[in-house]
Amino acid sequence: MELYTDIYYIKRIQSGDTASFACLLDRYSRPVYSLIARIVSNREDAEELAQDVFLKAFKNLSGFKGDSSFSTWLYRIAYNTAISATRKKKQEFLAIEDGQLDNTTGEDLEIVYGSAQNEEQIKQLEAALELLSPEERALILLFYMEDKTIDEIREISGLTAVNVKTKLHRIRKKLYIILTEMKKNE
Amino acid sequence: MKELFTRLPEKKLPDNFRADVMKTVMREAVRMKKREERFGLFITIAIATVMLALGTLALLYLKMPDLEFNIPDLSGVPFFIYIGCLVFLLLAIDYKCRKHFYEKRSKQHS
Repeated sequence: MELYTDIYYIKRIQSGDTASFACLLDRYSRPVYSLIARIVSNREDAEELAQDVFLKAFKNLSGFKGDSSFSTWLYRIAYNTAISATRKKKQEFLAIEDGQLDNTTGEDLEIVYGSAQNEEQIKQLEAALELLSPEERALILLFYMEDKTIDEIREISGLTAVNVKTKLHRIRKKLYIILTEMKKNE
Repeated sequence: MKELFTRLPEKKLPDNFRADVMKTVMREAVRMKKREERFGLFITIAIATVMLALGTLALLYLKMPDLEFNIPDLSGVPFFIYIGCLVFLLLAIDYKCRKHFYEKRSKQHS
């Protein structure tokens, strides 16, 4: 059970109680770090970037007006920081032709795995995620792992709602193709 | 799908992460406070300089009206000083008497 809301801590920090930031840190450090670590795929970089995210959040806390939830605001900083960091490092990602994507549906992914999931499937999913681009990884993780709504993802990523939906649909298809290939090679 | 994603293991947060971030945040808070203080001082100095400059310009270039001071009648001042001294003297005697009385009473009780 959460004792106080984020706004309570934010108001305390804004009035000069810097130590209250530790409470927000306790609440969000794990999911934010986890998300960044999966986007950048490097532990050391993730630690540095997560620290950077929280420092940015602290510096700009006076500018937080509460238009969106603190969580969404923080994830937006995390998303932008992680994506900018990956853009600086040139990485190669798996490219799948549009024709191949068009031949699959998002629901196919459910068929590949069915309802039962074992450790091997989770490992395969982790490997498949590594083959996606950082942006794609971020979007799918925000939706499925962080349980964010389309509207929240729209605010975090700065994309339009339609764009988010389209991208998620394509990422699901892409994951299906990657996982099917993996199953074939087993 | 969602169930599968929620089963993905969470990346372990480094042990010293919280302490490191809080150390950086505290350092930043001190830096921000100093910056605000410096900014406040700069604004005060800037406003004071502008006001002094405007005052000097006004004295030099504007026709300022002559200032007239009406000195009040000071003939009653010695009388009021005398009354004030008397009041002060009476208050001092009162203080001494009370002090003496309380000390005497506390001695009797002990």
